[in-house]
Amino acid sequence: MAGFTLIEALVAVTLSAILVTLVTTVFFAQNQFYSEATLRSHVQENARSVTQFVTSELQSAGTEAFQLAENRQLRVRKPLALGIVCAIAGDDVHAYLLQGSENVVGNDVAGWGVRDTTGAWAYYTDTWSNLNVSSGSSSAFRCENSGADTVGATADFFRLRNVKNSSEPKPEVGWVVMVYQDLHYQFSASALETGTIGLYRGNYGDTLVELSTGMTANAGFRYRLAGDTTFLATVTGTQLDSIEAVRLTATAESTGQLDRTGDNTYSYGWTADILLKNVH
Amino acid sequence: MCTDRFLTAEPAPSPAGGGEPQGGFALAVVMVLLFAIGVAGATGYQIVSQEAQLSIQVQEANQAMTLAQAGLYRFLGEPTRGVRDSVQYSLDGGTATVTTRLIKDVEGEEKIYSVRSVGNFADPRYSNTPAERTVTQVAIQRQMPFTPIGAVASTAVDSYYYNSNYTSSRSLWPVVQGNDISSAADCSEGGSLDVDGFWAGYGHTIYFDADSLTGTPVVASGQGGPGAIAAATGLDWSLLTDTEYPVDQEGTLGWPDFGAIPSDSFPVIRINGSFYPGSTFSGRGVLIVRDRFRPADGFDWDGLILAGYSDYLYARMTIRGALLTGFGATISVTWVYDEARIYFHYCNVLEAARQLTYLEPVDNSWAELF
Repeated sequence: MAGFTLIEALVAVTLSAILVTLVTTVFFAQNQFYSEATLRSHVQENARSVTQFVTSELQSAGTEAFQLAENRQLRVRKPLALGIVCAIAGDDVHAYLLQGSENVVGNDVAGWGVRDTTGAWAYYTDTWSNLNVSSGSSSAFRCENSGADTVGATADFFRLRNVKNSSEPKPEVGWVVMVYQDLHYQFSASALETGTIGLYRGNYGDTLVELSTGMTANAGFRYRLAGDTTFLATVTGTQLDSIEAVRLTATAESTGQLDRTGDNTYSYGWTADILLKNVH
Repeated sequence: MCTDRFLTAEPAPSPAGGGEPQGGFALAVVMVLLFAIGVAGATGYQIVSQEAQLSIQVQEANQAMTLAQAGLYRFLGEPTRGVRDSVQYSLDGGTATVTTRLIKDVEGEEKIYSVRSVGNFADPRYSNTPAERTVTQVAIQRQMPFTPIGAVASTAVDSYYYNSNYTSSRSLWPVVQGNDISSAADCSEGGSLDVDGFWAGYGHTIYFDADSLTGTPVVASGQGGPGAIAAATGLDWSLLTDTEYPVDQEGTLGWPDFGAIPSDSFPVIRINGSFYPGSTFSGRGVLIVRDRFRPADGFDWDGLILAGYSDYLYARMTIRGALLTGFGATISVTWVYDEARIYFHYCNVLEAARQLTYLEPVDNSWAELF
């Protein structure tokens, strides 16, 4: 029977030990990289998605839209549907809505607004059911009488019921109208990830829903006024009507296993300047 | 008893079927660990790859948004006349397709359009998954893109109007009328607007007899130079004289046969230099002369004439509309004498001005479509 000599066995064990050590080191390094990549991916995706979402919501806000502008929270009239008055019949206003009504959720509607030829907005609190917004051939037909091209776009013409006589100034053909949401954003303690800050969103007065989590205490909004170059932490009074840009600043953190330096937290900070396109 | 063969094992068959037997566990351990590393590596690659893909998609979406916005701005801002139904721009590796829809068209009022721009962009590495973003805005078509200020306007340092046969070879006197000679029979707005007889940029000295120079007021002087006439009329001279600005006729070659084209057509004609037109170049519409405008005998025009400057207006010529000069330069004198006949004709001016209409975005009407 053949066998190993002691020397052969010792050499084999030593070589194996070296190999195992090397391979194990590589394995754990790889595992560490995997863990960090996962954390980085998670945090960056969180930052990216929340930034995109907030940007898409706030960029359509126009002049006189902000009702509250503080470092940790803001309240803004966000257009759910924006359009142009193309006919008036009795107390009803018929309008071409640029976005249609697909994105309008009835519970989100806080009211409607109208912008006169001087550029001033007038806002009126109302409900979706009371406005009874409806689209179709009736509105399209009325607007067609005003010269509107309705071919293939009948569904984009809407009626806003009982609005003309309840408003001052009274809408006229050619004026801009909107159905708006009273949108509320707030940074506060996260319910999903204890010890961090979350961004909450919802209709003003309702229970806000946590939109994003894992941020540090420096998260907040800042505001730039027309003709100014600096961003302010808080804007009040008549200056609310002059806001032309919003800055979202945050640092997101995610905790994983300890790395070789003893650290187990990955941080990612970002800033997004949101230009309000309807102010320009 | 001690033996040098204290460990034994079943001899493994050699690869060649002979030789010394082999044994051990290092290979197996290495194989297992390499497999584990491979799995971890593949998973890590998958995550990084997904992250890269997400990042590219976000970049594509942002680029598509930029393209859509650029298309909208370009459509509303580029030098153009009227309103086009659809136009596609190739911009920075992507496209922006802009379409318009008429929302309001009431006689005598400004038209309102919805303008929609779709930006489309695909990363060359992933061209089968293009990103698309759509923005829209309301725009008004300005029907009267300028303000009529006078039957004749000039920014010359001195503007002289002589109601006399200044040159001995002429027997008639000049006529300049700022009071509208059109009537409701010409158009619904006919006879509704009287303007200055002579709008003088500086006009230190103006001689006239009231009989043949009329207007409301007869003379408005001390208005200023090219900047003042541009501000007063609302016309963008650099735009109108930009060779990119589309016109119906450029230069004199192929001059329109006004007897053959529809009688209600008011073409826009631009001369990129000086122009001394006689009867051959009579007609109607908007005549833009970049430099010097000096009509000769027999010239007859219905509509609007805009010129860089004009020094001598004495020929046997007639303009029914308005002659506005001095957009390009302030010269020393504009002379009006002898047989010049210039009547403010609001209907002709309106019709001419409608050829210069453009789209103007309505504030607070921008939206992104999702």
